[in-house]
Amino acid sequence: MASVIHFCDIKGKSLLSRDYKGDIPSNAVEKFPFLLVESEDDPVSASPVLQFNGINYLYITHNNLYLLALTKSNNNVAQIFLFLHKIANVLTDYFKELEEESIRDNFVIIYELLDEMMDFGFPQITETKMLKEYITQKSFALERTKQSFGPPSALTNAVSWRSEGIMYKKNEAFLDVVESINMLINPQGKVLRSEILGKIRIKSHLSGMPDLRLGLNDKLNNNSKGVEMEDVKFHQCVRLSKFENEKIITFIPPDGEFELMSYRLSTPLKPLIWVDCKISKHSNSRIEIHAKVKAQIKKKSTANNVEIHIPIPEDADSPKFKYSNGSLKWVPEKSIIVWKIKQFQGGKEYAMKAELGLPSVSIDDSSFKVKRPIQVKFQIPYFTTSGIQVRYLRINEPKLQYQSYPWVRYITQSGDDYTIRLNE
Amino acid sequence: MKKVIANITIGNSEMALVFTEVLKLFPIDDFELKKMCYHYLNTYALVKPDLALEALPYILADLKSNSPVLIALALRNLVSVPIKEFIRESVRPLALYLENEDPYLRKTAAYSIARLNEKDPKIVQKEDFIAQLNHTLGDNNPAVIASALTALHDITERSDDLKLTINRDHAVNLVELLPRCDEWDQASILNTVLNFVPEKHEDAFLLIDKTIAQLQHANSAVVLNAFKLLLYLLNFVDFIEDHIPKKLASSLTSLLSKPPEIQFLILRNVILLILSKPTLIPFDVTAFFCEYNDPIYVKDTKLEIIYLLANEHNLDVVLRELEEYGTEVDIQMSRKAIRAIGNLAVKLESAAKPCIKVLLNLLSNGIDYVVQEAVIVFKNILRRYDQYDYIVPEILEQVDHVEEPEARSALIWIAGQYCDKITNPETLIADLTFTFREDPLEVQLSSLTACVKLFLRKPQSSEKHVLKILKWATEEVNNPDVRDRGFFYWRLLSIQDKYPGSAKDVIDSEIPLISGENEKLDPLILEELELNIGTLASIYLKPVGQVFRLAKRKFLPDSPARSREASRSSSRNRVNTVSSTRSIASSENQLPGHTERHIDDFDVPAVNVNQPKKQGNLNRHMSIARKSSGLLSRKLSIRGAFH
Repeated sequence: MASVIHFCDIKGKSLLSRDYKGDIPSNAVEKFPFLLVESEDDPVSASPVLQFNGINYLYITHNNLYLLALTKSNNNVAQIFLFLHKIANVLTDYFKELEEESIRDNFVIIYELLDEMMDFGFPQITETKMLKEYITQKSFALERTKQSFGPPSALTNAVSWRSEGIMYKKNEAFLDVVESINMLINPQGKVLRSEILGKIRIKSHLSGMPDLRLGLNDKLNNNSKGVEMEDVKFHQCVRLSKFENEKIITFIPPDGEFELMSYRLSTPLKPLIWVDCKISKHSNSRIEIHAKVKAQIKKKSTANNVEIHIPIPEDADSPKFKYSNGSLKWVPEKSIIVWKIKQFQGGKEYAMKAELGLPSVSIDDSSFKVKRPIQVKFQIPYFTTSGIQVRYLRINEPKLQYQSYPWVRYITQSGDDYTIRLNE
Repeated sequence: MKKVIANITIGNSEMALVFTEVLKLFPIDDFELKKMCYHYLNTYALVKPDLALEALPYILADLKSNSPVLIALALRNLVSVPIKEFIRESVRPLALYLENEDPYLRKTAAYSIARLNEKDPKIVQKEDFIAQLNHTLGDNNPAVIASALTALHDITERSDDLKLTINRDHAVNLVELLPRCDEWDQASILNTVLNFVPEKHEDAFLLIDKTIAQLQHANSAVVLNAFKLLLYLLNFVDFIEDHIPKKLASSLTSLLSKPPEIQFLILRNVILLILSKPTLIPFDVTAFFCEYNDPIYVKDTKLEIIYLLANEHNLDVVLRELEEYGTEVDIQMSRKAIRAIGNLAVKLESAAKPCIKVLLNLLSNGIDYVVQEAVIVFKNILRRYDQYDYIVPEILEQVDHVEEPEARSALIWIAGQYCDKITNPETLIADLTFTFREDPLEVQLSSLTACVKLFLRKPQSSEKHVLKILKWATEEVNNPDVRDRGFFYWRLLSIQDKYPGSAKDVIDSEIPLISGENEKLDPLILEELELNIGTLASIYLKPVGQVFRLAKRKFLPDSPARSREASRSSSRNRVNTVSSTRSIASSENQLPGHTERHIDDFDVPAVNVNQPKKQGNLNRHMSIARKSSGLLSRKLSIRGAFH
């Protein structure tokens, strides 16, 4: 339950606001920039929840904006944060880009949207598809549209995420199974921690009110071989009780793109891309980096757009590179060298050597001692690390009985945190 | 009109002058224009109440239109304008539309009643809206039921004498409704079911069965509210099936892949759970290891969790991880990690030795802030255990790296306390206290004590220096604390001949042991926080009444289904409330500028971090609240009679 929603610029000054309850003085937001500065000064207390004078300031950042919710009562914080994220999503869908400029250009429609998305501090409709059906950027007179005009009945139906009467010439559903790998590897190649964050995204171009049933090769169904998923989270369209009792995933999908489910696996994994890196420092004059990278995946598979970020001291310069494949670049702003390999076939191994000069007088000796890890990015198409597979996707529209075409794609990629620690 | 709205948006207050012009636009039949007019009306109704009244007929006309969207708009705005006439006029349409055939309007009407209640609770009671909302709970549309329920919940939360009670059938019905509701409604329904008090174990089991599926919802608000409800229900069962705690744990850890703000919330709640139900929910410590790109507040909270979860079994992994953080790029992080290692050594006796090894390792790094932090925690470790004094010389080697007051005063304390263990302590202490006159208070105080300690143990060699310091303290320092301590020591020393040993008894006596059990929160507070999982109070980890003055306090209600042992222990807690909260009060009432450092003034990780900054007012408020806590417990016993 948020009392007021503000959009603030990068300094924390309010650009636009909507008051839902009227229990917070309108000048409360003027304190926000000061609170921000204060929390930056003291990183210990920096958090997305600030409190002053009995008013709680909850904010998220989006491009050059702060989305801020003010509240006085003890609320479900997840609801507020999630709602702020949803606002960002919806407005991005409406304006392509949500930033200071687009707020200034579209304030009327933003007011309209805020009106519909929240009532008295309670979130209402947050699906862009549904909102777009009755809040458009064009103005229109009520007289002409009197008959058809009204909120889509779906809003208050059991299936609040899909309206009736959707028609496609060709009925298709595209499934993307995306697995992001997070891994922490020590310098000796031992995996300290690994997890798979999987997502199944669906783009549905289906007519009517189709009922879908998804079959996976998870352990939930056949106990022997299959994938055991630990934490599964489903889109609101999935019938959770059906899954809980019978382990069947059934749903009426929203129209267009959405994330059907996400899952997490923390099974131990071998590194998919392994970098063996040695950095040696020679008497304060230069630094030498030897790195070998190996794609430890099936020979048939290929990793695309592999990027390896190797940290170097901040004051290093004049790099000299020797390498067989890909391209090497020095990025002084981030104090890293980036090794890019467009296509990396399974089982192959490449090596490189880099030499950088160091100033004879080091500014701050400790800057080299603090460790930053190597970060790796990659994508491997047609492959899931967990081995999960879509067995079938049955599409059934009881009234229309059309033929439909499900498509499935698999991809494994690096997560936010695929890192290899360096030796000192 | 767009221009007018634009001006409102930038806060141009002169726009109130065009009120009459805007009024002319009101009857025009254009939806976008109407919305803008309403927005304008809402902003300036209070500035020009007489003009606002002229808009009333237009609103009433809109209420009779046949477009549901327009009616809803008019209805919402009618109750938002805090003018008497508006409120009076809103009563009839509200009652009317609560019965309307369009669910969208019923829903809007329900929310509007909640809004009306905020403006004028009397009228809501007079017009019997509560009974009407109750009636609406029997609606056939789930969205309408949810909104009526939310409205009722909001109304009862605000009122002292109304209480939302949900009986068994209602609770079951509501939970069965969940699959047919949209995600936000699910979240609020789950929240309200918390008002149901199960009388039998079977009822609780039934609800648990029906709710547990919601843990797998993609919406984290739903997950958290389901979590809260489940945890609450678990109080009313006689045994807990194995898979439930596991499910609860994994439902939270899986939310750690959400945006950082949500992560932060989850992590704070994990702390709460570790403190309140350490044995119930099995968290895996590796799930909380920091990622390189985590924002600092997430890392910080994870670090606390790692510390709290550390035990004999995972010590190896934890320590290795903490050592990594010790050399992190981020200085704050690195410091916190070192402090965590130190606290760990104090908390777990078996961990002390490996922790010390890691710390010595870090110490040899020679990075200033690492060394300083390490020195501070070493002081605590030495206080806790006697057998590790062999590390003293190694610590004192780092003298050159130590500059910050806290670290210096720790170092000086070590030097003074262990002056027998080091070679040539006289020069060392003389060096350390050389800048005495310019040092900050904290350092001055510990310097004084250290010098006198040294003198008591080695009177011959240090007499000259002690006299110099005492002279400085009493004659050249302006701070009364330092001066008083100086005089006090001086007199103690000068009566040594008459009462031998007296100075030693006071200054250099056996030091009281410290323990690592500082992270406990009051069980009653924990109980209340558990009922507030996912809310702001769970982020602050503070009793609800302390953060939110107007909020109703929540207690775990008694019921025959509550396991007997649990209810007995909690009633005991209630009797204890007065004394235990008072002890918190005394420790919190220390003024922020109060720099006197108790030797047992430990870093209390779980409770200290991320507290809201301005506490002066709150504390004062708290102490008032506490005075009346005797009343509170009396009230509680009355509550008991109801069940």
